[in-house]
Amino acid sequence: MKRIWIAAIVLSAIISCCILETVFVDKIIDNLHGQLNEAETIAKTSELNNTLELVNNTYDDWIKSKDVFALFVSHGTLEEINQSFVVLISYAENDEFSDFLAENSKIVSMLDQLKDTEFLTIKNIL
Amino acid sequence: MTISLIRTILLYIIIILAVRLMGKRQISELQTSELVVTFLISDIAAIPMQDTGQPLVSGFIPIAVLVCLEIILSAIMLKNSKFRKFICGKPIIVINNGKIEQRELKRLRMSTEDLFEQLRQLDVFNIQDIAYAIIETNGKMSILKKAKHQQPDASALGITIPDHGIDAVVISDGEISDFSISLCGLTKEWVYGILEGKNLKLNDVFIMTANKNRNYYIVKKED
Repeated sequence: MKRIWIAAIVLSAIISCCILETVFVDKIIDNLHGQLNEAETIAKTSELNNTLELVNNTYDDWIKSKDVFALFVSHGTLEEINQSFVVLISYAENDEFSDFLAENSKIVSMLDQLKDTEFLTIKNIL
Repeated sequence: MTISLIRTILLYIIIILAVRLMGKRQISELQTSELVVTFLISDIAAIPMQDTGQPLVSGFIPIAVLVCLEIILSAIMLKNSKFRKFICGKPIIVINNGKIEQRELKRLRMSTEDLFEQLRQLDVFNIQDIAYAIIETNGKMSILKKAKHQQPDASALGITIPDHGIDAVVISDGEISDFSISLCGLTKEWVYGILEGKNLKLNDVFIMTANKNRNYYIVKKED
């Protein structure tokens, strides 16, 4: 009987963790998404250098959440996104407008894909 | 390298815990579903062990879920016989009252060679000796020989065999076993008394077995 209780508790804990993970991914990715969209808008309306602070802040936010992502996402995928952030910052520093927009879109797309793969949908389950 | 080492140790601990939680049963005694789960666990554990780019949790969660489901299913199977039949199937009689059930053999996709092989493994070399043969849910065969071919036991012969109880290993490689001593209803003092009588120290004994009737057998350590 003790074993069944242990199994039930472990199973409940895992289910809770999975739900929390989905909420966490949704929240963090939406936040990063918003910041990157804002950076794109600023880049289109004013100087590219003005986005630098925002992009750096977004990168910091990404680094903070990356450790949690590493628990359940393939480390290769996370490294790819990380590298793109580094490239994005360098484009913002060197005022390379079109490359900045392309890299920004690439990161947004990679983050969307990350969210999609972790989200509870029939498509993902099947 | 170090990461692989630590991951392997962690996964090893997880697998040991998983196997302990699933309970003590030998591979040959496992139900088909349990056997599949056991193989799956080893397979799943191998992925994050080899690929350090894969999160360890991605190995841990499926293992934990499989073990938990297995435990919960076994508990339900204990309570509900219909559910047990659904998961494990039911025993199938292949020889019924001396008659081979050919239809059941076909259903089991069991050839006559398979049938005879299993019978031989049970020390039966003549099919006419068998009254019943049943394929259990774990795939093993159980047999009941015809009455005239069964070995008579003490009650059939009308004799009384003295009950010596179980012979337990009370000393193993110089180490005394409290569990075995209590199993035979003996005391440590009795064991030490025997050793003293034989001029032996605890460390001189390789094996000492004893039973509840205080019969014992000692094997000394070789020099």
